[in-house]
Amino acid sequence: MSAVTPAAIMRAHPTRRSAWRSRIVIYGLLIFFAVLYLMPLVVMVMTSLKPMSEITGGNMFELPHHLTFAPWIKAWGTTCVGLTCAGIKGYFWNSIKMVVPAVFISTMLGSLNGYVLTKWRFAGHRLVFGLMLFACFIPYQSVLIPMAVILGKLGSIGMNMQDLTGYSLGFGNPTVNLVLVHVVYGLGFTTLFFRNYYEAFPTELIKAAQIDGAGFFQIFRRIMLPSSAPIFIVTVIYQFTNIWNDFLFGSTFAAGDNAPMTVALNNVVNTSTGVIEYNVNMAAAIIAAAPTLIVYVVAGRYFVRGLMAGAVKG
Amino acid sequence: MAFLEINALRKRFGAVEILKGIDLTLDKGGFLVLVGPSGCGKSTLLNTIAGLEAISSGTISVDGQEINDLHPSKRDIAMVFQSYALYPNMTVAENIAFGMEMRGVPKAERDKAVAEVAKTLQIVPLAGAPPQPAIRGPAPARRHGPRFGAPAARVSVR
Repeated sequence: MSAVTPAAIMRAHPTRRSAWRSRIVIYGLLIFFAVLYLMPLVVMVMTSLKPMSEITGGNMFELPHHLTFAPWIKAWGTTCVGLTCAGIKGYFWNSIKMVVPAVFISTMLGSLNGYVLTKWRFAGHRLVFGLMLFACFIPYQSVLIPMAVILGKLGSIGMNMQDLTGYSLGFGNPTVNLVLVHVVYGLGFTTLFFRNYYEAFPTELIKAAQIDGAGFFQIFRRIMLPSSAPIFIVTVIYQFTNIWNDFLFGSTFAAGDNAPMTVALNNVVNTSTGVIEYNVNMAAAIIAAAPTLIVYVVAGRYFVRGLMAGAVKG
Repeated sequence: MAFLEINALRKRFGAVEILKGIDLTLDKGGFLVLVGPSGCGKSTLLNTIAGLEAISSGTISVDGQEINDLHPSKRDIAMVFQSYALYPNMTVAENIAFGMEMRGVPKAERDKAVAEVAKTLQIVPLAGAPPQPAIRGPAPARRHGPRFGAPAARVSVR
């Protein structure tokens, strides 16, 4: 008998209703928190599109009456950062020039480290990995002074090079310095990500490739790298966000015209002269946050997928 | 004179001795079947012959030449792994040809060898497809499906 008895319907009915109820609660909570988290962004965008008179007039939740893009143009091109009034565009490119090589180098080194620590184990590999893990727990502040000493030494090498050959070869260049700092600081994290991912990668593939006659780098390039897309996305997003958003290293090691975006934004907002232009500040802040937002929007779902792939063993 | 000769082969992992003096000979064209409970050293013995594990003492020679310290790729051997170990990022054809590519065999010659072996093993329609997901290990239901031909083809183009 496959007919459903009335009693079963009676019993099924309340459960269906409670399923609806819990769905409404879940969606209600999700919408509530989405609105809560989006509120600051909405206020930022609206403020950045208003003229100053409307902002000083009052209600910050009101939509702009006179839509204007002037604050954005001013933030990008003419606002004052410290003493120079050429906008934040130069600093934006400073950040790009620093972030791209720093992310690339730290990610590649991390994947090489992970490859060696899982597939070419050497005596003491556990200790080395343990020490690299340790690097993840070192607070930013405690490396500032040793790092300053090392960068100072590199700077004097650069000056000697300049005197001898006419080229400093990047020694002492603030952008190169920041790349070095971020690569060194990020290496612990990238190594951890890749080691955990490669730990689950079948070692028999490496053995098969060895019998096939592939060398260390051939195996890495032909077998490991093509299978590493998920963890690459995780690592790139993580490193990109951290390095782009870094303020401490940027403000310590790259002052003035070489400062990254975050430091420039601070100098725009924390000015103590004249009227505080909230609309320009908001526009500058959105520009400063845009690259990380874009990275998350574009690669966000791969981020979650990659984290799962690293966590669950096949 | 036997083709494969193993004398007093010992293999230790730290304090644990896995292979305790293996003596073994095999004529050319012969079959050798290793039987034993798990953990008794069958795979370790195969790995030492393939050169994937260094040996602690003894000798392994093939065709009268001692190969103890030769790199796996220099031993002129082929091996089918338990998990098949097919490269998941390459097609079946690329998997079969990878060893030849690494030994510097020209493309035309590789393609010819792959076509020939694919025909012999009746896996021609699979050659352009990716192997089954080796990362997760072979699905039990398909264990002895037609794709078993791929690892067999890979070792037979040696």
